[in-house]
Amino acid sequence: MDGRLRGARCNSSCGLALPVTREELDAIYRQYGVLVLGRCRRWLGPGPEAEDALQEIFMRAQRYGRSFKGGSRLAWLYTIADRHCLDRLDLARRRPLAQDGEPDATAGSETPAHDQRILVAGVLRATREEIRKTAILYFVDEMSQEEVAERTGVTRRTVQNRLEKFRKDARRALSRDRRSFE
Amino acid sequence: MSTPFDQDPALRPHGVSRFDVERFAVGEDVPAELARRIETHPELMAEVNELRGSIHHFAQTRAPLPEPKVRTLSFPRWVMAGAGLAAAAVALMVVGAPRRARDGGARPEVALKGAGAAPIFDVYVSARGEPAVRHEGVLDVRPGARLRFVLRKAPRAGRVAVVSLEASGRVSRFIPEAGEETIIAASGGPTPLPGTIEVDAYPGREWLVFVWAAERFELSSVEAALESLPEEALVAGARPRIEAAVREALDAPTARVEARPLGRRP
Repeated sequence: MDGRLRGARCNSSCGLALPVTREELDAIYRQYGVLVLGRCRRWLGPGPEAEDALQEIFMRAQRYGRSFKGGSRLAWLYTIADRHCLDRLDLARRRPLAQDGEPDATAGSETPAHDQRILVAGVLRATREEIRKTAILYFVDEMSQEEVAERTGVTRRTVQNRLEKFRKDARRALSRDRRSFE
Repeated sequence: MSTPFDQDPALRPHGVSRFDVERFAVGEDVPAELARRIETHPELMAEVNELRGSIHHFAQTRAPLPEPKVRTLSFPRWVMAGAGLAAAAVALMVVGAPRRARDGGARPEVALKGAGAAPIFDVYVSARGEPAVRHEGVLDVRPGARLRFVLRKAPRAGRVAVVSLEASGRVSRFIPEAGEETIIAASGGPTPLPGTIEVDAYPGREWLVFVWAAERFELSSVEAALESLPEEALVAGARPRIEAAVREALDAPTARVEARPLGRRP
């Protein structure tokens, strides 16, 4: 019996009843799954990793269901998806070298696009949360600066400042990344 | 030096973001003005129709989500005893001054490693309905015992999390019970952390991983770091590896991590 399922067997007084039932989760999966999969593919590429991430994200959605406070469920799922995909990319970045100093041969084939995604994830993870959120809304959700300002409750000027800070961080990270290979 | 972010994203058709189109296509409520803009622009409606086709196809053809992986345990391991939280909290406050180990031996606290003043976690144990007492010595308890965690002191305000890691590799979140935000704890006096853990009769090796940081840190990073540890690494002596993996995964310079083995008496 998996610990993550234990809440499903609790009565209401045990304090662990899962906030999203299995039936609700399946319904949400059918409705939103393809969109979340698309989000995963934007982060992780078209390979099987996005499919793996999709399932894990919906498992997390069930576990973290209490954190959904209403509003757009799609935005809530995307928040979980973004964090999960960034974690995956970060783990790929930290993947240990094999003993001979070469990258682990079991790690899968890395491509320039894959490397770029890892770089992007590294920059996003290293930056402050409000800047990360702004960058994701602007570059991933393709919102205008006005929309980002409205969603995040700040002025457009603040959005511009955050994007500029993010770009500086990205340039610095890219520079550091290149130096580490020289 | 250029980066993928130097260029602004291409302007979206009629200034409607991809996200808003997706919200509309999936059937979420959107402001009437936004809905009108989408519905009156063929280019946007073409996007919507394509998305709706994908959603329909996915719903029709995809197998249901698989059940979470089932592990080789015969019954649930830990149960958050929500009904007992209030009573346990009162008991903890009544306990008051910490007891000294009778033999003057190992102190019960979890002092997190790192430079500077370290935060200290206490583990309180309540067995057979008796009042909770601060645990002395090695954390070795009987099934059915209930555990609570108290941040006895911290150098400054910060965030905390407590996670369990089994030898099988399974990671269970204890503190916080739900949500992705770590618990905020003030500096100064003891801070009881919300939630009670009931110990079951799981036979394998297990660690309680305590994390404190002055900065906000990602709980998912803690979990991912623990989940990424190979099972063969989770043998005796794994503590440094566990602590290092979590510290490395956190973007929090002040992070302190302590992994403590949890044993069970028959």
